[in-house]
Amino acid sequence: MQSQPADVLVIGSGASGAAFSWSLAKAGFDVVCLEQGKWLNPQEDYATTKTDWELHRQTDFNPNPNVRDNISDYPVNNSDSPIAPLMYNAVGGSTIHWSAHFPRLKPSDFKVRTLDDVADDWPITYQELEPYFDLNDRHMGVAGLIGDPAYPPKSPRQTPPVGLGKLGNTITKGFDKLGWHWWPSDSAINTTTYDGRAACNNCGPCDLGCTIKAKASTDVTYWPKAISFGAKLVTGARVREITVNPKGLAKGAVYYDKYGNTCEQEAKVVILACNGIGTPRILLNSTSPSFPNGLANSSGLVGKNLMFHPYAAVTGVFDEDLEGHKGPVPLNIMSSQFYETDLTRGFVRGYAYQVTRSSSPVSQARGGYTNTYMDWGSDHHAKFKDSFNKTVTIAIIGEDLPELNNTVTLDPNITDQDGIPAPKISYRLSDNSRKMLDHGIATATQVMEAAGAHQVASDPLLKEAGWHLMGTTKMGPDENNSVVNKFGRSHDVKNLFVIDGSIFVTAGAVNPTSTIQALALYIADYVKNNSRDILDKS
Amino acid sequence: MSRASILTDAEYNLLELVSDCLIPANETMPAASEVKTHEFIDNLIQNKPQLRRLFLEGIRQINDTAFQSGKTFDAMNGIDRESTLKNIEDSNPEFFGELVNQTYNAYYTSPRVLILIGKGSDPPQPKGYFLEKGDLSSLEAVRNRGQIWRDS
Repeated sequence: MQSQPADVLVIGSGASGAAFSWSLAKAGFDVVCLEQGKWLNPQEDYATTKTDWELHRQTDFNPNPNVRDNISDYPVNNSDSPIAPLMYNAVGGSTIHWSAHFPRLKPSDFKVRTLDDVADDWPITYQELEPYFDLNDRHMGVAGLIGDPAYPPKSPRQTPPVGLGKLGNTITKGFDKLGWHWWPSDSAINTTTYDGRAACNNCGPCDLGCTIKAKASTDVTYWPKAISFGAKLVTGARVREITVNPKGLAKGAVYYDKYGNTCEQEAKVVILACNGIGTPRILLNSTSPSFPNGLANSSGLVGKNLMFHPYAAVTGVFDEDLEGHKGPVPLNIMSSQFYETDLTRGFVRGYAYQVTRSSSPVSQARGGYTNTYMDWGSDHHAKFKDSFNKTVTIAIIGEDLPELNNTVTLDPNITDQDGIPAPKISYRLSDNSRKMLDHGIATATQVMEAAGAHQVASDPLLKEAGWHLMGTTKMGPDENNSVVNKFGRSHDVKNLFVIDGSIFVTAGAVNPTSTIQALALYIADYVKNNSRDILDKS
Repeated sequence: MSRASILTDAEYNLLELVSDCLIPANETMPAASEVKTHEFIDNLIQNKPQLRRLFLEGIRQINDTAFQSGKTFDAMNGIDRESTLKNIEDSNPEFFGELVNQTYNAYYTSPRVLILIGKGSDPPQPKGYFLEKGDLSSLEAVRNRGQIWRDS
C-alpha cells in the first residue's frame, strides 16, 4: 500500500516527534508522522478514576513494555542488563506515563571533555539551546520558580511550583540543616490553568496518565496544534525499515499498519524520533547493499554508547503521617548539591537528587522503593501502619558516561508481532557510576537523618528505572566518531535526521525530556531554514 | 456453594485459610478473607492460564506439605500453618511470591481497607486532593549561598 509522498516523514509521536511535527507543519511543510501506538482517551483509558487503579501499574500501564505487552509494544531483551528499559507506545510516547520532571541539562553537561577530560563535548552549547528551551517551555507549560542558583537565570515559569505539602516541608528541613542545595524543580504540570488545559488537582499517580490533562503529554500539548496546521498522524503504524534510493538518500519507510498490511510512506526527508532504543533498532534493521551494517552506520556507532541514568534510592521512614499520597508522586524538589565534578569524592561528574512522595497502598505493601515486600503474618498490620504515608524517598540520579560496550543490537531470535527483530540490550554499570551512586546513598542518608527519619533503607540500583534512553546515535563533528552532526543530520544519509535522546553525547544527571524537545525544535529550525538544500536534493 | 470456579471447594477453602495467615485480623483491620482476597485470586486465575497453573500446583503443594506433617492444613493450629507456609515460601518462591502479591493487591484495593488505613476509598480522580504549597522561605538562604552551576 503506497501513500502520497510527504515533505517530511517523522517516525514516532512522542516528546521529540510531536515538537518537530508542530514546528514543520506550522511552517507549511507537508508532515506525516507514523506512530505504532494509538490515541488514548484520558477520560476512558486511564485508570485513575477506577477503584482498582493501582493494579494497572502491574498490567496494562506497567512502564516495562515486556510486562505490559500491549499490542502497541515491542519486546526488549533486557536479560543482559541490570536496568530494564522503560517506555510507552502511544500518541505522545513516553510522555503518557512520565512523571513530567522538566529540568534542563546544565551548561557544564555540554562541555565534559573540556572541563573534566571525559567522553566528548557536545557540538552545541546550553546558550545555543536556550531559546529552544524557552520556546518548548511555553508549549509544554512549566511549573517552577526562577532564581535557582544551580542554573543560569531562566525566563519566568508558566505556572507556580508544584506544592510541597506536609511531606515536602519535612524533607526540606533536612537539606536546610545541612546547608545543602534544594529547589522546586521545573515540572511540566500545570499548577494553574494554562494553554487551555486544567490545573493539577494533586491526585497523585502521574505515571498512570493524566485524566484531566494537567500533565503535559504531547498528545494534549503539541499534537492538537500540529494537526490543526495540517500534520497527518498515522497510528498503528509500526516501521520496519527506512528505504534508500539509488543516490543513497532516504526514500521513505516501510511499515505495517494495524491490520498487518505492508505499507510504504515516501518523503523528501526522514526524521527518526523513536527513543534511544527504537531509533537504533530501525537503523540496524535498515540494511541494503549500500548500507550492509545498517543505515547511517559507517562509524559503527549506531546502537553503541547506550546510556541510562542509573538510579539508587534512599527511603526514610518518619514518625508522623506526612500525607504522602497527596500531590504528584514526584515531589518536584531537586538538589544539585553534588551535581558538578569534585574529584575528591572519588568519581568524575556527579548526580542529582529527586525527591518522591510516599508510595500508594499496594505499592507500599510491595515494598515501595526498597523493593522488599512487607512481611506477611501477624506483624503485617503493624509494619504497614508504621510506614504507610510516612515515607519519603530520595532518588539519586547519576550521570552515566558513554561506553562502547553498552549497546542496543538486534536480537537474533525474538521479534515483535510483525516479525521485526526485537532490540537486545547489553549494559554494565561502570565503576564510576557505582562510586557515584554509593556516594549518593551516603549523602541522601544524611539528609533523611537530618530531616528526622527514624529508619533509613536503600536500594543500590533500581532495576525498573530505565526511563531515559540516550546516546545510541551520538552527535558530533567527526563522522568517524559520531552518527549525526550538530543538527541531528546523518553524516552518511543527508536527508535523514535523528531528533530523540539517541543523539545525546553525554547524559547529564537530570531527566532528559526538556533537552530532547529543545534539540528537536532546534533541529526543526535548521531543516526549515535549509529546506532547499535538504528537501529539494532528495 | 455455587461458584463459577476453577478451584474445587476444598481448594477454595484452603486458599481462604491461607489468605488469613498472610493477613490476619487485628483489633482494627479485617482479615484478608473478610474482604474476599481469596475470591479475587479465584477470579484472577480463571482468566490467566499461566497463573492458574502456578496457583493450582502451589495449593496442591500446601496440601501435600501439611499432609506430610500428619495433619490437614485446616486441622493445624496457627503456628503450624505459618510453619507450613514458610516451608512453601522457601521451596516454591515463585508461587508464594505471587500468592502474597495478589493477596496484597486484593486487600489494598478493598474500599473497606482503604478507609481504615486513612487513604479513603475514592480513586485519585476526579476529586484529587488539596495540597498545601508549603514553606519556601528557606530558599532565600539557598539563593544567598550563591551560584553552584559551573560556568563553561
